[in-house]
Amino acid sequence: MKKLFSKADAVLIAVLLLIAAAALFFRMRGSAGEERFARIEKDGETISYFRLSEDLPYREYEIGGAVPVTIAAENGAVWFLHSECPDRLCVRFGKLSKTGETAVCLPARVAVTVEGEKKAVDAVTG
Amino acid sequence: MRLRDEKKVRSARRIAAIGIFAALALVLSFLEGLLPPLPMMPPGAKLGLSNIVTMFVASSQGLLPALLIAVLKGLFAGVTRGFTAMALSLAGGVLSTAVMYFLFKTKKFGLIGVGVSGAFAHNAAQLLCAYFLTSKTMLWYAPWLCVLSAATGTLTGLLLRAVLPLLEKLERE
Repeated sequence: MKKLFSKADAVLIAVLLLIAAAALFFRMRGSAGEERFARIEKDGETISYFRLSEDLPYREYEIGGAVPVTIAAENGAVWFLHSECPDRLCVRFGKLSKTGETAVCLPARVAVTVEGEKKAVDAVTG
Repeated sequence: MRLRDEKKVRSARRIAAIGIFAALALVLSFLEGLLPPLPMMPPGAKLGLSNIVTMFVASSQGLLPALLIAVLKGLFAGVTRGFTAMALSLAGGVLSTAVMYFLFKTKKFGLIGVGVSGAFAHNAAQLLCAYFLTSKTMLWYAPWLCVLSAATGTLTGLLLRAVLPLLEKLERE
């Protein structure tokens, strides 16, 4: 009978969780006080990049190709509105508004990401 | 003469066993698709129940039969869900099967450790595929996939321990 759990297993799981916790911690620290931008990519190339301001008026992006998708943005959030792909996972990601949030439609090769950029005034310290 | 017949019977049995296990893996991945999506995790995150089968075959039958099952699973995904699903399934299935096989060989890891490594290899391969197919930003998911692998891999290890007597019986008959 094979053993269920060993010391090596415990080390492996601890390392995995530590890496995840460290990465998430640094990401959260880095994203404070940033201006947010949305990036829309198709086949790995940026096709649209715009500021996600809180008062952004509603807009839609229709992206053609073998699997057409529609992306919408409004009031500081961006999301997959519609997709012709079979499983619609991209639509299930919901609205993205925080830095680092990503939704992707693999069949369409389209990705949407919220990115942060430091405001210029942040550099002034006193 | 007698010896040769016995050999033939044994290899026929082996092929039949691999066929049964491949069918079992397909059924499990189909049933898994019926479960509701995991809460708190990115859409598309799955338990990886059929990994139980590849894991068992990797430990009892060797690397090639286990890889064969992973490839069959990938082709099945291609037939039912399209090219992207096939590429993702093949990348994840083949890499995780190889990793699980080699960890069994070291004899240092238990079922849970092998399950977690397999889940992690599966997720990492798929994340890299998504990275090359769509966007570098996919790497934002990496920390969540570490957490996800630890959880689902542990479950796979526990479940395999639970069904091990059944699978061994299936293999012998």
